[in-house]
Amino acid sequence: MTTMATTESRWSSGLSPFGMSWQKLMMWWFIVTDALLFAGFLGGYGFSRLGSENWPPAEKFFSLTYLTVMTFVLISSSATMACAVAAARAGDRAAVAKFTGYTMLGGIGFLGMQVYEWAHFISQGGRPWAVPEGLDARFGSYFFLVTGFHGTHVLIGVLILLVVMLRARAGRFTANGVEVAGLYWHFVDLVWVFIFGCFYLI
Amino acid sequence: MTDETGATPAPSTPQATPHYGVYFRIWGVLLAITLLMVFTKNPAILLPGMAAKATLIALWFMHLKDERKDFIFYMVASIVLMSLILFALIVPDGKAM
Repeated sequence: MTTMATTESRWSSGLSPFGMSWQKLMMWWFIVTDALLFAGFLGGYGFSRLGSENWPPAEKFFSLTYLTVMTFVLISSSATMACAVAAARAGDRAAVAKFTGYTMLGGIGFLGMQVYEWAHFISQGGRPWAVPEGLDARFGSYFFLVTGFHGTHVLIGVLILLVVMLRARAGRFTANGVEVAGLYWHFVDLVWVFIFGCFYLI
Repeated sequence: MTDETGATPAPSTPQATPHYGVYFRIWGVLLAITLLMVFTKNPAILLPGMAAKATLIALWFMHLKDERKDFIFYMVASIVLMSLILFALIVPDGKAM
């Protein structure tokens, strides 16, 4: 026991980085690097769009009302996730399971709507290498890359939330664990703010 | 409050009843900004709107406002610096291509 404590003490240096857990710090580190990756994607999108003479307007292929509903669903799931974290801090197991479940439903709803959006664009002739009517094909490339990459994040988030919810129902959760999962989910919502703005509104 | 490994321990006994109201207020503000952006589609509103939404999510939903100031600086400065280089110096060159 003494040896274990000594080893832990050596590894932790007796310090708590920035006054937070290592798990939380590593999640923040991941979030920053992932944010830079998304920034690179959106930067490339902006660079290509500015230099294009026949960039398709997003309204041509997508319903803004539908996309606004998608955004509402994701923002709402972020709010319920914040409630799940608050419940975890209060040690309210039932509330953690409930709010995590709501968040997961929001994520599944968003993913379902995105699948429909993809199917709709593909049915109109949209491909990663082509856009209908001879418009700039790079729009299709960026659309499938960025929304696909974001959708993959949402899918992974839903799986993480499923684990968190099952653990909460079994009473095997920590406030720290729920908070780290929450950070990831809020990041997914935060990235969508910029994707929605850059792709569909500007 | 952290233990010797830096982990925030789970509360052994329930703490005070959590207040969910603040999250729903932030949620309402986020929805309102989204609607404003969708209805106006004005770049003068879109860019500050995106920044405002991101700030609200980071500060309140991700609880960044509760972290240490030096940590907030490292997180925000790295993203802001990268974004400035990317969107202010590189992206505009697309016009010249």
